[in-house]
Amino acid sequence: MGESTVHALRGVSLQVAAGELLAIMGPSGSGKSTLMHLIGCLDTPTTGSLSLDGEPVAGLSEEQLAVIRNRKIGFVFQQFNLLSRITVLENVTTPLMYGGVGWRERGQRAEEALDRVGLSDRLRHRPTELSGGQRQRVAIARALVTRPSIILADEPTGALDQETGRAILDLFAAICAEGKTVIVVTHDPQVGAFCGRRVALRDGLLEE
Amino acid sequence: MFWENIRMALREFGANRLRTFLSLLGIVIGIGSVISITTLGQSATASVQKQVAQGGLETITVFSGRDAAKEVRRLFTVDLGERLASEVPGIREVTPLAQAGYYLKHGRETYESATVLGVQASFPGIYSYQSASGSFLSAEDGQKRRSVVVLGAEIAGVLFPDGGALDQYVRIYRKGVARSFKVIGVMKEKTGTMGLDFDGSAYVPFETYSARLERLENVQRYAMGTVTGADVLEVAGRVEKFFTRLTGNTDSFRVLSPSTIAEMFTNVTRTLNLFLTGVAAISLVVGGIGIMNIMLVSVAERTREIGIRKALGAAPRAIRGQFLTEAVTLTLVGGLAGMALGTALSFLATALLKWSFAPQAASYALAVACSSAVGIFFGLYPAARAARLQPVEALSFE
Repeated sequence: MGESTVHALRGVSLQVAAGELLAIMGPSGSGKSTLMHLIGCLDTPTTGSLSLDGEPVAGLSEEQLAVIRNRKIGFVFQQFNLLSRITVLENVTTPLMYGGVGWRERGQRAEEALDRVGLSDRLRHRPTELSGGQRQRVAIARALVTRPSIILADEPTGALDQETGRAILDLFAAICAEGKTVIVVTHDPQVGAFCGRRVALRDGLLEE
Repeated sequence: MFWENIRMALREFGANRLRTFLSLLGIVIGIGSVISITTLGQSATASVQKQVAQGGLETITVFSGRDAAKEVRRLFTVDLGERLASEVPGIREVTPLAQAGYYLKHGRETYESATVLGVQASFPGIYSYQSASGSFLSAEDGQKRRSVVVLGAEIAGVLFPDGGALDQYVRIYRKGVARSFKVIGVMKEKTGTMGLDFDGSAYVPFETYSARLERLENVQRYAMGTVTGADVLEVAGRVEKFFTRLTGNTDSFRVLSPSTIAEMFTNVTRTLNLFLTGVAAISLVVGGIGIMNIMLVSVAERTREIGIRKALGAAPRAIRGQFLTEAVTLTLVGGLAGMALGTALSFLATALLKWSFAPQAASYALAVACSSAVGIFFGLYPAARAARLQPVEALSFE
């Protein structure tokens, strides 16, 4: 008996252009989460290379990866992943704090971002006081506030009812129209159908 | 980011009040004892010095040893007092001193448990003791062994409730001895010190005392005043040398001065301080371990939060800073509570003991430094652990 290496992804080659709304589809266990972690610089590939905005990411230190996550990527999670002890506004200013943005500008930009997702009247609320759809909007505002080039969404509609989910997807489409790349990871064909481009992952292999 | 970290930390404590309070107890007790020890130590020293100063800081007392050989004891004569004053630089005046308990009686009034002191004319000068009426004993009273007495304020008040003690006769007696003495003076009130109860004593010439009351063959105690401005400890050292040369050893006498007593006290307080500081240090270490424990729990509980923060772009350094700030804020809160507790306790204690309340700015600075140091030292490991968490694993933590 020994440790066996599991290849979650095998020889995946994928190019994503700016302004695309891309769906990465696949059943659970197909490796789509791993792919998303790699794209989001939450993890580094064992072999192979990854470039963001044409810059290679492999071999960067934890501190450098943190800077890339902060500047270039906005995350949207299935479970929202908001910080429950602080207000909606503070949640949205958090990435700016890590980006070293001055504290007055932080407030301004966070309010703009929350206005963009239609939540300017909920600034002082706690995330727990909001509905699921509202929470996901806060998460999107938090992802947008650093003006990243890529929005990475992991099953963003998975915890929402159909109507609310649809509204979130419309929001993504609008964000795309502004020139940002949005990558949605999902197993839901309806979500996939909504996106302009679809790739499917099966057993660590990619099918366009 | 610093202020956000502090605000986050305070919010975290607010959400876990009981846990925060319990984890802080060690620090509170440690810092509380640092504050009360230093404050009480200072207050005690100050009040002892004040008491000693009241008794006359510049007096020195020499006792002959109880088990000194007879030949040695014979050396302790009345004349030796005069030799002391002339041969030891710094000594202003000397009196032999002997005392015993007697009843004092005048008419129907009796004063029980009076101390009768056999002293010479120099006595009031040595202790800056002042006459209220009449005069103190003179050298001539001694030479002629007159049966005269000067009364302390309390005795005079009891025996002569209506005043007019001068030229009256009092009986000094106890089993087997009873003598009549003429009152030639009454003293002012003076707080007792150094084993002397001024107001409850009656003063007779030393020579009269040793011939008529106790039949002493030699002197057991000399009291001496030093020259103003002299270093009393230095003079006491010279007195010690004088007696060592005289007796040939250091065991047959004992030199005591308020200064040596004050110094002894300072030494005792210093030792006690050292000991209690050790106790405080131990409770700070124990408190620090409590902090470390609670921080590790906090890091484990908030793994997901750490994952989220990392996804949002928090560098390991930022996460470490957040948890380190939280630990230091925690210990500083404990330190502040400890300072309040220590101040309150020492204030109460000094009020009860009627000492002066002397809080030390330096010990408060030390308390702040100690609590921050404990926070940094014991927060470092949990913070490093938080910073090392892998984002993917932290995010998938339930």
